[in-house]
Amino acid sequence: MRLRVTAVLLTAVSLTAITGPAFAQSPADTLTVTRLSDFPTCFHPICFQTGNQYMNFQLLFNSLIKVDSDESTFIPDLADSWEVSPDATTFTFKLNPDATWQDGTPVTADDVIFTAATAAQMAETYATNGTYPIADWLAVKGADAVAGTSDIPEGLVKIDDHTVQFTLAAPNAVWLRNLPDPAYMIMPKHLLEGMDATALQASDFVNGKGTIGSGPYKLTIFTPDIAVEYAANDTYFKGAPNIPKVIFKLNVVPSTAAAQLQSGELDMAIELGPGDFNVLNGVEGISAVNVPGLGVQFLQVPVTNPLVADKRIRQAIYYAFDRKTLLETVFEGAGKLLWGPPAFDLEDPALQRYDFDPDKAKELIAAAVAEGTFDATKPLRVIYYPEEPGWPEIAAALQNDLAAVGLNIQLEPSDAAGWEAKLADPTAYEISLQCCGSFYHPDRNSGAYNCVTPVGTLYANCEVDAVFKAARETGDAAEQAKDYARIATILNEDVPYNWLWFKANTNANSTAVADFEYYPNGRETFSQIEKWTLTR
Amino acid sequence: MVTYLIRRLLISIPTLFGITIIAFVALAIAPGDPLTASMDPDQLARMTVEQKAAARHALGLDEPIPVRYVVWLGDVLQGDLGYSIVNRRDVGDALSARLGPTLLLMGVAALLGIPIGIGLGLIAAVRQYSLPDYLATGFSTLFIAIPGFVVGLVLIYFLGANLKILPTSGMVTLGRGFDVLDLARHMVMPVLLLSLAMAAQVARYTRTALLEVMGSEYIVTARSKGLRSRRILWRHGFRNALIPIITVIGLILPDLVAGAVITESLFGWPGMGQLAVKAAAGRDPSLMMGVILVIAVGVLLANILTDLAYAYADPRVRLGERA
Repeated sequence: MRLRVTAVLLTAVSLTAITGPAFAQSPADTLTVTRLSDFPTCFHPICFQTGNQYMNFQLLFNSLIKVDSDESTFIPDLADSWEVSPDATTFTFKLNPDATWQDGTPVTADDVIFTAATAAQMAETYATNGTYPIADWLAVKGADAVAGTSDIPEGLVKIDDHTVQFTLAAPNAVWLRNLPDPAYMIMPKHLLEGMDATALQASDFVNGKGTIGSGPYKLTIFTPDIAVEYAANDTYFKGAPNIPKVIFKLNVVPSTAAAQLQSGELDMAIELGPGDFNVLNGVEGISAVNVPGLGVQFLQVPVTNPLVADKRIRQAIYYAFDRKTLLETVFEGAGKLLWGPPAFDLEDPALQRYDFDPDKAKELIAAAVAEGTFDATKPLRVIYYPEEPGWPEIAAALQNDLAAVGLNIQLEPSDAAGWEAKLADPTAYEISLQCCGSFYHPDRNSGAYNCVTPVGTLYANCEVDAVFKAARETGDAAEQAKDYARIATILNEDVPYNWLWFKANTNANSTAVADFEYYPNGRETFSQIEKWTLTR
Repeated sequence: MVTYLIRRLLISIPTLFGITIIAFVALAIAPGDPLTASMDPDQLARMTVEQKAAARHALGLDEPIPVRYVVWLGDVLQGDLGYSIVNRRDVGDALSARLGPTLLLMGVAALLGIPIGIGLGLIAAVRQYSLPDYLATGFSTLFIAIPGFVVGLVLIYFLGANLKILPTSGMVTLGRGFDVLDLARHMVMPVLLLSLAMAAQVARYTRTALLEVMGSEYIVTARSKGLRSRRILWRHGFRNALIPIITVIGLILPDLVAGAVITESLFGWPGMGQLAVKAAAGRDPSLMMGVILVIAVGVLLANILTDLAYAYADPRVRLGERA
């Protein structure tokens, strides 16, 4: 009897000690954040592949310029002023003389030139690593010639210790807008000089052991797959951050992210699943918002696949799919409908809006069948992976709507790797769900169109390529608008993609976090983190 | 016994080879590869066929499967488990960081779950058709039938998100120094989930095995001789019911190394189970082979331990000796 009573008391005491309030909430001086993506061990643009790296680089490093939360107004970063030549070929940056690396070494023009030059020299490694594009560095005059060498492109010129000039091989009016991307963040020459691509990728700097940046936060502890921990850089040239510490949590499971916000283990989560908004909306101490984003939900249709080669079939799919109702009901209006390539001006009345019209869809299908360009008995295979937020719902609705106009739809879900493998083979699918990207400018679409070596849908239209090029090279805003209008017209007619909607990002934070704004490109939200405050 | 042990260890070597060959081939022929798994689909869509071929060549993915296997095996025999393409880390480092947390979590869960399961099974068998029996059987059925994922989510939302009395994720509170109590708090929910699942299985087998033994003639004889019930239960009943119980425990042992995929993923526990999921999702050949190798060794050792336990529990079992 005595033994049983003792056992019960011991258990009760243990449970009391173990449980209790404020067990695991973030420390008062620490902002704990997450974004639901991967984080390979890499703190350098040479292996920059994921959105989580995007956000972490914003804490550690700086670009020459950044953008404000409207995604269009430039704000100074390492460069506190800049000039663009009228023909958009020469860009001159004056660096902030107070900018320093976190070890006290000044940031100079040498670092900027080193960063751009080594990217051009190691371009092949960047390409095989599948990193975020470094097109801006490769657009510099002479960049092609230095690949595989240790030479500096002729278009990179140091005017003085704090002034650097870029001359491009061809005019490019959108060159500046790409610079805030972390692929172009400036690296320290004095720490990385002399390393080839192999040595660089194996270095402690790149692997999170001794990574030194110029940014608002210093890397203190990197625990792979668990968290990246930072401390405020008190000598930051834009002013010491208000929040002493930041922890970026890794590998957070989507189904528990909302619970971690409610329990206090997380202070902020970027790009949650759409269902989490309803879970968190109205919860005391938490603010959940749907922020219109720059990512897009769309259907990718391989135009070389005989079943969907006829554009009338692609147009029929667009007419048959009631994307407006789906967006308004299942996704609760969190998004903005599209009927053309994203970031273009789609208000031209000549553009077809592809409003839900099953009769029109049937008409187009019948015409294609009559001419022998479409076999209605063969299934249209729709590939996707169910873990992507929103895709199971889109796939189900797509199957339903397309079946209603007589199309034979076969859903083929797989895991992400299996889906990407099928995506690479245009004979393996007829429709693929696709997502995201960051369409802050019409030129962001240009990478999907290449008539010499087609990519993506394998749509090849040299006029589109030529007009994109002309739009980049003209400094005249009116001319540029005409060019983009022409591209919108062509793509609206040929529909190599069915653009569904700009998707909204579901973000949530503890109300203790203040003085910040979510960016439409959620990954850029840390751009001005030094101004944020945390009050517990 | 020693001869048996040595023989079993030697036989395990070709078994291990066979496992690695089958696993390597299966992984190689599965759709997708590290290139497609690790890259942003947006980036992948903009790569030309030539660029993708160059990337695959750089990763060694264009070599024939037998060549890739021999290269991998050669490295392993020299102590190099390879490089994780998706994580960009040494596989040995990744595994060694994960093994400890898994052994801790699964070890504690087994230390709790197995005795609880045996106890419940004993009670159920001894008091067959009584309330304790129905409760124990009901518990077993419930925790075998309900998916662990569901129970885990309920625990997370109830104890973590709503009552806020236990942490829902990770091993420790980030940003604070190591604290044993903090670690213990983080272990409560995943250990509870795992130990209840283990207890449910063990209880069921214990009850069945004991009931069968307690109906034997020698037990009837023991009763008729006037032996006390407690002595009959422990000395004659339980001892003879041990073989099937050891079998169930032997099946649980490999999990000490393999971890519990769902539980570790759900609770963000940085263990082998979570690593296996990442490796599989990333089609990461070196990492996946490293995980399989470690688990295979664990399974083979568990089988040997189970056989040794049989010999200890039942003197009629002779290991490697002539009858």
